[in-house]
Amino acid sequence: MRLGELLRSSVVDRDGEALGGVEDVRLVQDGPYVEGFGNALRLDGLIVGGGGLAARLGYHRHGVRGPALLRWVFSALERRARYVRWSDVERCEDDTIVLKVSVAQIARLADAGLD
Amino acid sequence: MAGRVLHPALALLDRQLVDREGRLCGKVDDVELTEPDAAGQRYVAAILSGPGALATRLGHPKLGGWLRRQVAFDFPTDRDDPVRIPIAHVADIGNHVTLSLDASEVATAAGERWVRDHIISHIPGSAHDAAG
Repeated sequence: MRLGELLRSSVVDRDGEALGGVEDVRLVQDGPYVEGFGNALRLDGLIVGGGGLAARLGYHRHGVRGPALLRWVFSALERRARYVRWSDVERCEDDTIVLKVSVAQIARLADAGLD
Repeated sequence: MAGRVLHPALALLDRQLVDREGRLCGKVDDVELTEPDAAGQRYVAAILSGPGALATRLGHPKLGGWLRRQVAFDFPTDRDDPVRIPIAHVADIGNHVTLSLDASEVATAAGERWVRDHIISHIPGSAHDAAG
């Protein structure tokens, strides 16, 4: 599997309800040790839906402190995005990622407790 | 201790690759993930750079696959697939990506090698090293 495939994918919950497209993924460097690199980068989850522009500009994160107008705009966009943990993914088929949970169980990005 | 967090669409794709001597040697065109392990986890296996990798990422897998096979056939290197740079050959990821390889081992150098071998080498005087 390639990152490019994930970024072209749409996500639906277990009932087929669409959450949106994958805007980015979150990698955490806490995997098995790889000689020459260090700990492997683990696929932790997917940033899905809403705020696509914000994601591509690098504002799809917490901690945009200002100017106030940008903070307001990007905070609003971020509130629309969700964070799907990779452990909640049931399967990937063609350009669709199917979850094993319902959309109500997927946290908003801002509430996912990420750093 | 929590590991470093990376958002690759923002902080890895299209970043400059730099070889172990500091020479520019292409861009990060895509990232390959491992198959799921026993716990269902996937990890970054390799960086993909060079002919074919970008076309595949942009949704043209047939064109990308053909370009990739062509480069591997026409410009063999010490590695089986010069487009694929295993993560073990990535020394650092920052505002650019530093490799522990030589630029000549990366597929993006294939075009330059072809021009050197088929055109430049036939120009009289081309055997000289570039003078400073």
